[in-house]
Amino acid sequence: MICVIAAACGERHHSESAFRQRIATAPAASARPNETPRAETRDPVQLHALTLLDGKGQTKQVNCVSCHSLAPLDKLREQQLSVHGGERKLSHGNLTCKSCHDQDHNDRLTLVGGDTAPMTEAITLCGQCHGPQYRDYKRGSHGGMKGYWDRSVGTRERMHCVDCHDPHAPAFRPLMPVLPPHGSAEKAR
Amino acid sequence: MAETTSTRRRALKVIGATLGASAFAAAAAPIKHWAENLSLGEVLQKHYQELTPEQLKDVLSRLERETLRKYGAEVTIEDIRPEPNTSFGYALNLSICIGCRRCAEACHKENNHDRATNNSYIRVLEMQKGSLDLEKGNAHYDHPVPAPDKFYMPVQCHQCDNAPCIKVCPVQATWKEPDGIVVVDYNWCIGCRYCEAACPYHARRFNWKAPEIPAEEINPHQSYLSNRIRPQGVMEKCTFCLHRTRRGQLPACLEACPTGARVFGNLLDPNSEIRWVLENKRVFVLKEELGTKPRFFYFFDE
Repeated sequence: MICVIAAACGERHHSESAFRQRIATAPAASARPNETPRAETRDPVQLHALTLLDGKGQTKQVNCVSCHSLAPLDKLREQQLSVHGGERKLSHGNLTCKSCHDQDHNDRLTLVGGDTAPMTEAITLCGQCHGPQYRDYKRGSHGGMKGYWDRSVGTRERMHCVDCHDPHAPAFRPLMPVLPPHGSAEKAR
Repeated sequence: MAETTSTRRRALKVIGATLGASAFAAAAAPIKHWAENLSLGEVLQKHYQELTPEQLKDVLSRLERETLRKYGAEVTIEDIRPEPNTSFGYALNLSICIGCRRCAEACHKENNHDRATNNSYIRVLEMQKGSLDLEKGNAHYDHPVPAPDKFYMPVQCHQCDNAPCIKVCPVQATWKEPDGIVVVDYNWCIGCRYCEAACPYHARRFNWKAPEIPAEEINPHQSYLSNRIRPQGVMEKCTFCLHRTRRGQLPACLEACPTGARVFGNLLDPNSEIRWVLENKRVFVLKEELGTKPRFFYFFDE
């Protein structure tokens, strides 16, 4: 008997919202020299595998197809994402599993034109619907970053869509602010 | 008889001198107390802009020694000068900001602010949607964000090109650098707080006491004009993290932003991201009617 302990990507996002989701990410279409896309060298299949506990209580990586060969996406009417860990529910417009995931190749994404893309190119998939955000991202005015503004001096690391947004529930969940200004407790009353 | 007069006069003189000396000592006592934390080098130090390279070197090493003595932390204090052909600009997307105050926290740590007061150069205002009335902004919200029907407006120094704070300084302890950043010589400031009153953005802070920071939490990468630990009784302000940005790095508040609401760059580079925002987004500045010409811009998505 296998029970799920954590979903894809090892460290799941926690109460701090989905800031650090680690599904494989893709180099930006606009990637400039000296710009390091996150996690570009990781194996997407590895990244999109589930970490499970087997009968002996040992962790085990399971590829998507292990389960989905028996449970194809079009049979999953209930959209039971919770099996992937956490309390996830699909909350992304009217999309279903098959809107993004390829039925025949579970480790690949399906694009609008019918082509498929590896998990690392999630940004291409997202950009198909979210045009303004995709444009702003390419222009550097959407999405977090770290490193150097002057890329003749050093490199810059950019977040990608799924680093910050849970693709299954992309809206930011409310979170508590940090560092209340001095005397806030009295003034808030 | 003459001898007696002479003796009395002498006695009066002696008594008078003793009284005078002790009165002077009593009158000077507060100054002595005040000077306990002030080195002779600091008293005699010239204005930053008048220091020769050798004098500046001495000042920096003295400040490093004092930090070690007072805070028990080994730090490096550098003098980082503006880069040529650089003019900094900053923009913030109000449609994206969720008011989580991660920027204020990053500023707090990066710039060695007093831990007990949660001081930061950034004040995040919770605003009612549909209004830009800063008077109604609430900086003391304490509930999950973003709250319904609210938007969030972080306010920090706008590095104005026509800065009222610079004009009112009676000792020229604050000035604008060639890359646009308004700086303070903390060792020249007399703490009159005129600049704090003059700033329409409430961006300047006064050090009511010397900051208290545990040695292990002190950011050791410091510069004279930005994040070195400020003494008691002087003004301080955001410098766009000049110790980072003058070396090509992004400011700490931008790196900490989990939503990517902040855009920073060189206004003189026509291909920079900040220029794209200014040319293509609906951009505005705060209190434009005051003519302060800020370098900090706000924008909304369509």
